Amino acid sequence: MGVTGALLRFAAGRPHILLLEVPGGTAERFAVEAELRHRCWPAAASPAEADILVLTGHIGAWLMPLVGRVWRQMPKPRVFVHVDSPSDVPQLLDEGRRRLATGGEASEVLDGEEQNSGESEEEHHDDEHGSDADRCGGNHDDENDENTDGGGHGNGHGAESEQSGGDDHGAEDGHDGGHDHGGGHDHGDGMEMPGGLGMADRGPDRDGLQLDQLHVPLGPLLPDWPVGLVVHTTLQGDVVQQARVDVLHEDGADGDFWNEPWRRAAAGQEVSRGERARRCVAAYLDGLARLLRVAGWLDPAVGAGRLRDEVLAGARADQVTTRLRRLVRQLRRARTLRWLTDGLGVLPFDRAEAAGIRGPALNASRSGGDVTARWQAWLAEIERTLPEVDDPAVLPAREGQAQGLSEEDPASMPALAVLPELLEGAELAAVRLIVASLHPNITTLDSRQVTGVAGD
Amino acid sequence: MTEVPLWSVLVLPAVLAVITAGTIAFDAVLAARATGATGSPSQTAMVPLREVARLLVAQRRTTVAADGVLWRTGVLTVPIAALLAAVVLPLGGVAVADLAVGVVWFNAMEILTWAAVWMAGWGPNSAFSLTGGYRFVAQGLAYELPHMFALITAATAAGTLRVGGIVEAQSGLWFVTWMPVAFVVYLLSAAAMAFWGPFDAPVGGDLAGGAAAELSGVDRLAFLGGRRLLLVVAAAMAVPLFLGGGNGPLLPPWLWTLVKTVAVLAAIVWLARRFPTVRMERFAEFAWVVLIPLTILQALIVALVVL
Repeated sequence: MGVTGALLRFAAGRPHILLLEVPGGTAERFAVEAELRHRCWPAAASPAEADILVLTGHIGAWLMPLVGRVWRQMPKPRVFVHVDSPSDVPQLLDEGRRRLATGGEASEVLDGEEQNSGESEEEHHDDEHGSDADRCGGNHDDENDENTDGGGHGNGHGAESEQSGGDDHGAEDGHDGGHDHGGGHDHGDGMEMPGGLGMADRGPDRDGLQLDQLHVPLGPLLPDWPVGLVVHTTLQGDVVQQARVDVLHEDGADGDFWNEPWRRAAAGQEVSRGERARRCVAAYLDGLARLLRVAGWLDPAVGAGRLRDEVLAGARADQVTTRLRRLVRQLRRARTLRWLTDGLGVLPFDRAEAAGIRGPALNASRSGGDVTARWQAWLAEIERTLPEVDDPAVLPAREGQAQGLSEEDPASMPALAVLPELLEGAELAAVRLIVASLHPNITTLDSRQVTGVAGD
Repeated sequence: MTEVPLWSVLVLPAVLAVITAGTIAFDAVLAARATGATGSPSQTAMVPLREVARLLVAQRRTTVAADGVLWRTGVLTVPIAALLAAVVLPLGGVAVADLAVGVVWFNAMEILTWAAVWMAGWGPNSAFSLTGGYRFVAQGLAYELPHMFALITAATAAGTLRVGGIVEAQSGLWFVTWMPVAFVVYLLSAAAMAFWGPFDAPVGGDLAGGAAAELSGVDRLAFLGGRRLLLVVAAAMAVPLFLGGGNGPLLPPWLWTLVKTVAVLAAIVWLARRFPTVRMERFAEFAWVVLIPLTILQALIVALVVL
């Protein structure tokens, strides 16, 4: 134990963090990102890589099984940290590291309880599906820590192929069962399959070949992915043949972080124009940071994240302008990035307008409408809005009502309406870039801010 | 061919391990600089050790209906291929095995990683992992032909496939001076064969880690450690092929070899952070339409000069 204990303590000095955001956790995510930058702790790309799972936002009943799934895919020693408030982040991370240094999960009985409730709920669902339980549900779902199905749902590596018909019952179960099982367990008709999983069905692909179809949900617990978004894909190879978009709701979660100034203005509070401009600049910087991370260009992504945090923290325009302009210039000159995003996810102007898309995304569809045009439109919008961040004039309440409060169903948001048609026929890498460039920014209330606000 | 001393068998892995650790630490320094954090040098030097410790204490995972044999074979093949490729590397005048077909041997071992990454991606029965594995095969199709022309160019100029012979042929003029295209293409393919940035799509973050998405514990250590080892070996090979091996004034040959290797590695690691991940759907066209003709032209010029 002496050597293992010493190794554990030593290794815990630089844990890899899987940071996942669910509705209501945007401000907390920024706090965690800032703290990770400060500590030089690396971000994990998958549960297998992670030591500490950091979740920000409101965990509701439907989310618990998904979190449990991600959790069980993490190798021991592992630690779960739930961030409720941005100010707690340093203590929570210190505490997480301390628990990791002493063996992680084994010493955190309470968290284990919390997780177990997720697991038992999941098993309950398995039982609902009857024959699943004896073949795969029971034996790979729990303590022996085998990965259930690549945890498909949770973070998008739906490991197994599944009969194409199987997707259906996911859709009808509502959110719980749906996302639990959407790409989930086997549906083999009583035949003994490897691991109790169904075999993939075949279908003609875009080149007229008969290829296996895999049903892989992307999201909602996937790093650098819009909050609450689930895209159910039918994959052949790495090409998306069909895509269906879904949004996870959370009752009782707070309103959208991004449209907060508008909501406050609509509620009659005094909100300055500068505050609104700050939110806009930060939203586009956050979108850029995410897009750059998905594109595999980490250093400018970190730069965009830092600037975003400074703008939100109230830095004066002259404090950030120089560095912001440098970032914008660097990206405008980035021929490789342009070359990689050109021609992806082309959204024609007519279609964008008909779908109700506004703001930079609509401007972008005037100049090509591809991913490149969209991130360049963000750059233009950042440059345009930045001088306003110190404007103390009060935002009229009428504007807040127009922009901020909307009771419409998030699933009908314009960006989501056009997403499936843009994704079909795209490769997975392109899918990630397209989704990141449309920044649907889904939360419970309304996320038109990002596509709409700056267009006013 | 000189008599090979037995100690070289032991020294080679040790030297490679130290340089690999240095590469990881250097990369961590660059990452820290981007975040604006000021990590202390001792902490940064600890990064590779902490990573190893972290992966040694972590549990190994498995997935449902995984093809365990294929998976673990693929994972283990990466470091083994890197080590086998390294046996022809001359450190000063001494190589573990200065084979008569050294260049071909290096090439063959490095291509083993195609199979290795594909198997590691296929094994866990996971869609992202599988896609990562296939991405590497596509990457191989893009980088390998220009890479082989670059290797052949150096061998043609020296008139031998023996790595030691290629170094001897550069005692006057380094090959990099009159075959710069081959050198640059070699550096590109060194990053591509080790799926290092900007050619890191096979283990890309957009696929939750791709071929490495399901790996943890010692498996992850073997796979990603082997990948870094491969990068070191590929960078080190640029030295005897194009940079005159141990040739240089004042310093002993072995030290020159190390200095040049570290310089090449630092350049690759630094450049990797300057570009986003290059997708093969775009790069393959560039490789076939631009790089292959260029490298053929380079080989042709070199062949005419040698004649």
